[in-house]
Amino acid sequence: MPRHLRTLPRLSAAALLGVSLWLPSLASAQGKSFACMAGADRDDERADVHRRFGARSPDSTWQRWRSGSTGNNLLALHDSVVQYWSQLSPAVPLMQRGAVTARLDSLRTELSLANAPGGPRVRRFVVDEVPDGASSYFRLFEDPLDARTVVQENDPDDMRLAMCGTTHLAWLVANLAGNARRLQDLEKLQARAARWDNFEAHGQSMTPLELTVNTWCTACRKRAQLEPPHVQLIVGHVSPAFEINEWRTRGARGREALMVEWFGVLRYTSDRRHHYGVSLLSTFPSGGPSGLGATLRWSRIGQIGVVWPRDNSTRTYATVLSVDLYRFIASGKLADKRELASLIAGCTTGTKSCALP
Amino acid sequence: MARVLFVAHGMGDHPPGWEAKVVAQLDALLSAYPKYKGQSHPFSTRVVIEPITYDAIFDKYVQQWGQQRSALAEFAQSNGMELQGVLGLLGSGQLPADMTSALWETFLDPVLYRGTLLGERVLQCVTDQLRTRWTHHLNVATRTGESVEVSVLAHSLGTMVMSEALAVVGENRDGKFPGLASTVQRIELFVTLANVSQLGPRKLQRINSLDTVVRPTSAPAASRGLSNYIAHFINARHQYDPFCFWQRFDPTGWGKGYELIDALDHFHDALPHGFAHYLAHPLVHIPLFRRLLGNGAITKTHEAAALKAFNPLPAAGACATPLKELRAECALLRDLTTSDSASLDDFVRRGLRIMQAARTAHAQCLQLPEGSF
Repeated sequence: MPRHLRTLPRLSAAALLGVSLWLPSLASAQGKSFACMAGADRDDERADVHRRFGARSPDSTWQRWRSGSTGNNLLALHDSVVQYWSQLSPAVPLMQRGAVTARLDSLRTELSLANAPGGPRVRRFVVDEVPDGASSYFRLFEDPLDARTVVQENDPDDMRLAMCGTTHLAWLVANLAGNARRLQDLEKLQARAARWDNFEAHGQSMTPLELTVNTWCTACRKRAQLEPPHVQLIVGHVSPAFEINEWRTRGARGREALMVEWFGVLRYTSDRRHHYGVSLLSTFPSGGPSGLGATLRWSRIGQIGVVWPRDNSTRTYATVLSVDLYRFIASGKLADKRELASLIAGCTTGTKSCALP
Repeated sequence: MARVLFVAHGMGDHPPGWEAKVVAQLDALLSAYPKYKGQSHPFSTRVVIEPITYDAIFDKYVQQWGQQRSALAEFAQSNGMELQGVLGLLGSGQLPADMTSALWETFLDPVLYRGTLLGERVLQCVTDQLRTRWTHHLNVATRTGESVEVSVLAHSLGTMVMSEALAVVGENRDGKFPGLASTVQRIELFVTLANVSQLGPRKLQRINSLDTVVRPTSAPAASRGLSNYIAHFINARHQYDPFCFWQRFDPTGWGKGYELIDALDHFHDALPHGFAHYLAHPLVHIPLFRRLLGNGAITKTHEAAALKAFNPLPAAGACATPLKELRAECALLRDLTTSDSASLDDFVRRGLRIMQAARTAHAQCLQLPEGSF
């Protein structure tokens, strides 16, 4: 198997757990809120913000709050943002102050609604850089019509810090509010990914024809939820099998056969680890008449069924074992050792070897 | 850790680590501009790259079919059975023997994605990658005090996959993860190269890419009262890329937030569809760099200089004639798509002629790469 195929199970399960501690040192990989504070043309905006504003810079302020008494208390953190804003807002023209205050008020309302799905509207506090000829300006609060919340390149430093720094801190509070729920919801994704992994690892393989038929069967899975099928249809599935005639008597004869399951239905358990089902089949043994019958399947343990020969030369039925069940039996995992001994005896006295591929 | 770019591949073989080439190219392209001159990794030190990989899902099934086919044939042969008639048809006739050829690797992916439930497996896998890594960055931000801006760059089949995956995440269609839905978060930039999200029979389209929240905030709101998910949408398509001739992704009235780049006519490869081939053009990478790194990353003067210096036909000279013929063949196929009287035969014939012209161009201009899907 190619190297990259082996990584597939990890793709889903491990990727979900991939909230690693890997933290590259990216001095310049800051968002637009830092550019809004420092100016659009700076290459390392964060360093520039620290140089200009020192302890007042929002990320330092944030870390101070988080390590202090406010910690994870969202409303206390919000109060701190409001306080930060009141200290810096005198640098902002009166006309623009109202917009920031209104957004902070709406955030408080959202924080009070503890069960809002997804948490507060974080996107409201993303800073936009808007190209303006050779230069650009920054728009706050995602509102193109609200001219009051625009920060220009030539606005004074303290005003920039007040507007952009407060917006940035509000973003951090809103983001923190949704964090716990997001981490919790990752478990749902992990569970679904595990179901897909189980379906592929332990389920019945599908031929291209079956893949098409099962795709059409919209009742067989919850499509919108991107869940793996819980019911699988079998259509014209060819597989190697082992047919045993008169298996109750000593000296039963076994022979290899090709088995075609014309139609069948499998049902999966909720975790998709096991499945069971029935199918109608024909067998085409080597050197014998073809037979028609039915088979039962239980997960990867395999299939057992009965077929009746289509010609009338023999009036007895034959037992059909899938190769995987035959292997299972041969490996000594069947509870009834006497039956097993009988089966093996039948195989070993048969005209052909029981060593199947 | 604030600017995050998810990159999604197109058709064909893309093992883990496939993004290294894209990252290297973006670094090389950016370092050519004066502001970043002399820096070896100017892009990857400023933007966190998160690859989206889904090719292994298709490969796994195709590989399995190949193995089953061989095992069945071997079993039949060793036991003196013949796989013929219905048995042959069902047992080994469902797929051609050589499933590993480049052609199959390339064209089977979109068929399996569009036409089978593997598309849902791919969407599950891709949305999980997107949500997990995005959540990771948001989680880190709560400690470091930085904000997070997420962008997506997708090519070819990746545009189809990401358009649908973003719709699932943005509208929380699967009901599993409201924390990154468009009501809460947004994607800063979505760049599609050779957007094929509308391609294929309508009945097989799981999600109509024109009718979701995956549209810029400047566009009229998508139905269901949800917020639009994308701040800026860039859609680039090559004039001679055959994959962009049919069922184009062509939204109208999406406002200033939607930027269509369709003046691409360069031929650095014999096949102009490749990821790298698209990115190489300044008309494509300059808006990308500006949106990601700020408007000042590349000045207007430097943009003009880059466009002037860009040679659309670097392999011209001795190869001028075959390249001209290749262009003409592509143009004829493009014209055919608007003709009412064209039959399927015409399309097949024209497609084969393009392949022939591409081969001739590649053969006669040894320095011209074949190109990729």
